Amino acid sequence: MDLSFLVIQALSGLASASALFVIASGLTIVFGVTRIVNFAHGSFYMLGAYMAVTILPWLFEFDRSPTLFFVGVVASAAVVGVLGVLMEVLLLRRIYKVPELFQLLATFGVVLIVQDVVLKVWGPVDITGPRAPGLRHGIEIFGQRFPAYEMFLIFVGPAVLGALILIMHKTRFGVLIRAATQDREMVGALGVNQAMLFTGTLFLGAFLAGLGGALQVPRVAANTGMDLSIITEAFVVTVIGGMGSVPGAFIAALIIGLLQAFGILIFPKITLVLVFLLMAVVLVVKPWGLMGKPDVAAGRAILPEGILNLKRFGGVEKLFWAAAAVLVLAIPFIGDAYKVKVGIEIMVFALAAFSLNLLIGNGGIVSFGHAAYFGVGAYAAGLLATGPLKLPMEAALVAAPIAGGLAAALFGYFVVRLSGIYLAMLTLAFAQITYAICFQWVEVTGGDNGVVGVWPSRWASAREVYFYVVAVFSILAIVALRHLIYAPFGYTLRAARDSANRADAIGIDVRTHRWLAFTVAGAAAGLAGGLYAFSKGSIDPTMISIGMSIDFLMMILTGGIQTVMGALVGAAAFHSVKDFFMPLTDFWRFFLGSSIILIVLLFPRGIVGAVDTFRERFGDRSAAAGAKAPVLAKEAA
Amino acid sequence: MRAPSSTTILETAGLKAAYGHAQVLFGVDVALKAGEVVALMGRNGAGKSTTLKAIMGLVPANGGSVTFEGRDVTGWPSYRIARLGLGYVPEERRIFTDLTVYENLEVGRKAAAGAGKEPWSLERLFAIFPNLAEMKGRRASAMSGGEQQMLTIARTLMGNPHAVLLDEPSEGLAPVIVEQMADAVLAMKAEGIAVLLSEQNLYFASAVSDRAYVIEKGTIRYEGTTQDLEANDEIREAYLSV
Repeated sequence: MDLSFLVIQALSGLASASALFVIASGLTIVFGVTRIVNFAHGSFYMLGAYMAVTILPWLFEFDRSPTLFFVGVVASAAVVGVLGVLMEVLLLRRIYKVPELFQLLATFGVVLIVQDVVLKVWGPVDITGPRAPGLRHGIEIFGQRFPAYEMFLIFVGPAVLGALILIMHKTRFGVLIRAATQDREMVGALGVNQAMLFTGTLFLGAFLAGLGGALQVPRVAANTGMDLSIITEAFVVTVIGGMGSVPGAFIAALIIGLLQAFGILIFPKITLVLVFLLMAVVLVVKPWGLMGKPDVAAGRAILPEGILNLKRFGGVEKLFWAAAAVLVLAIPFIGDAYKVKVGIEIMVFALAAFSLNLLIGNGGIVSFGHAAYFGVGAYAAGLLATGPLKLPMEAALVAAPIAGGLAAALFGYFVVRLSGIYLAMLTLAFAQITYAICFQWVEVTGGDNGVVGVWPSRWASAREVYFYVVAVFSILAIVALRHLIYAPFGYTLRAARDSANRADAIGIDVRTHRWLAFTVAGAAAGLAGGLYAFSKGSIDPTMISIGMSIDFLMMILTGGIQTVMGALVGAAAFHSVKDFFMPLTDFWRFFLGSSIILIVLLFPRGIVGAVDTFRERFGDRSAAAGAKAPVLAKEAA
Repeated sequence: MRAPSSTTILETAGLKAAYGHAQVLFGVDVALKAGEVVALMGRNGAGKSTTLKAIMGLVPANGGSVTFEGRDVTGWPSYRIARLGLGYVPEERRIFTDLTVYENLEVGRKAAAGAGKEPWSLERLFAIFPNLAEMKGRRASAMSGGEQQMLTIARTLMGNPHAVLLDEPSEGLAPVIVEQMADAVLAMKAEGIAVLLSEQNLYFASAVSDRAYVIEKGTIRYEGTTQDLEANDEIREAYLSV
């Protein structure tokens, strides 16, 4: 490892850092002003690349010049900027006041829609773009060749930083953005039309994402996986830098770029893990990132999202849930093999979703990576059953919740130190670490292919018998979790959710309670994962993917985040609809994305919430009594 | 009882507002005539700040109406109310600490609504707030509390308001700064700007205001001139003494 090699390595690290900063700067600016973490930022990046591979060859028909290359790149970015404006006007404008969980989900809905649109327009095959004219050669550095285009990229980052600093300090638009980042309500009270400001901000943010994507075209082919691959990295950069801080994003991008360039020499397999570990460490030391500010006066009324009105079962509910339980248990007698399979999956997901709502609805801990614990349970069970140990199913199913609980205890130790959006980002990061480990550690986990042959013990090998195995475990676990919600532990969690400071002041150890809840929920999700692995007969990384976490969130959202039992209804409704429709259409992402957005916009209280509203309106006294309960004046008059 | 006179610039009728399910205002009637200074007095939690916020559209009104310069602005977004010419100076100052003094003023700058007087310029502002002139390029986070308070007023004046809502101007300030605040209010009055201020301090209120309302539990309990209020021991005992 000589000096010239290190220099080259450092330079390519700087080039990646530069590209990463261009993208992350847009994300951080948009977050600063709108307080929305925009998942679709990765989609804008991908669209920038696809625009460039479309526009550049067309421009090069006229003249293959560096000037037209830059014209094409900027034009691509501008088109994406306009798409950002569309997103602001059509969607974001309607969700500025909803809880952040719903915002995250809605922008993820856009990600899904864009994925299908890109597939439809450009097809599934990667598209290689033209190289940059005038930058196709290599530069000799210490006897090594370094691509001129990479060298050019190194200067793009600082140039964009300089331009952004100029905009932020020398233009009225920039000054307003900085003011709104601090206190957007006050900016409105001074007569600034926030809608215009937000639209302008989205243009700038999407433009930067598109620019980042278009600049990638000479290095990598435009492909349909670009959006999710970049968005986690961009999240990490903005979180480490401090959300809303452009200089912070620059420093963070530099650190990440160099960490990756040199990390790959020392730990070639776990660069992704290194990056997320860095983020975890930074957040523990500086909970608002390197240059971020505590979210003091973002100018939004924060009302508790989640279970407000804890009712015990009345007569109607008792009857309903008893009937539902009997109906579910009768499935093997009355249904065919398909219904038994769907029934097993619904029970598994119901347990996972219920455990997630213990965190979100009850604890206010908005986890965006619950699939991690589900996946750890699945992998623990699957690997113990198939690996060198060849444990029987019974032992593997005991190990699954233990593994899920241990993973949750480890990650939760860091997670519960944060709150709000930073917490959500950290849970997402931990889920991605877990995903990366399972994906990259091929010798043990089978990588992308996973492991097959995870079958139940002989006595439970018939589908109908395994159905009852799942039924016993999941129903008992759900009953236990429900009991926890009604126990003093549950009340304590809700107190901490509504006001961590006040709970702290009356002597509640908020952190420990949250940590315990996180661990318990992780163990329950792990159990669900183990049950799922044996029902599938295999394990693979999709069980830990972002998509899986989103599915769990969608289940509790569909059912109603403010209700105790909504998670179960949501799991049943969401999974059966998804399982039924997915094989029927090539555009299931489009439909899933649209339905996420529709639910967020039209039914934010979910199915069970809607039923409650209906009963309140028609004078059911038990329901109406609860409706008056939540009195939470955050601000004194 | 108050026939809308041509000189009434701002008026609320039966204004109600709530935070979530907690009702705070139960029907507030206040009126502000062009060019006058009116104090809204009351204890902590009586509804003073909420009244001003509800007028400004920062807290949604759930009953009653707000009329500004003859237009019903109930339910309007606050930026549109501000653009009509109603300024708002918040209680907690809420200056943009990451921005310089100059940039804070820039955020407040907007064209004057309607025809009228000479618009506020930096020079005219600095004549009233001389110490702001000396620290134009300073970050607002590096200012003292009193300087920040002056900056909030200057920032609002940059928007060329016809009337200003001033929330708790004397709260938490050193006596010498309170005097400067009083001067600033009188300077606004001299410019013909009407001021509705919320206040707990009767001495401050009587030094600057022509009339006063007393609010308690979200309704107006007294209305009269400031001199009458000072003389009225009963009202003062009941609603103002701590």
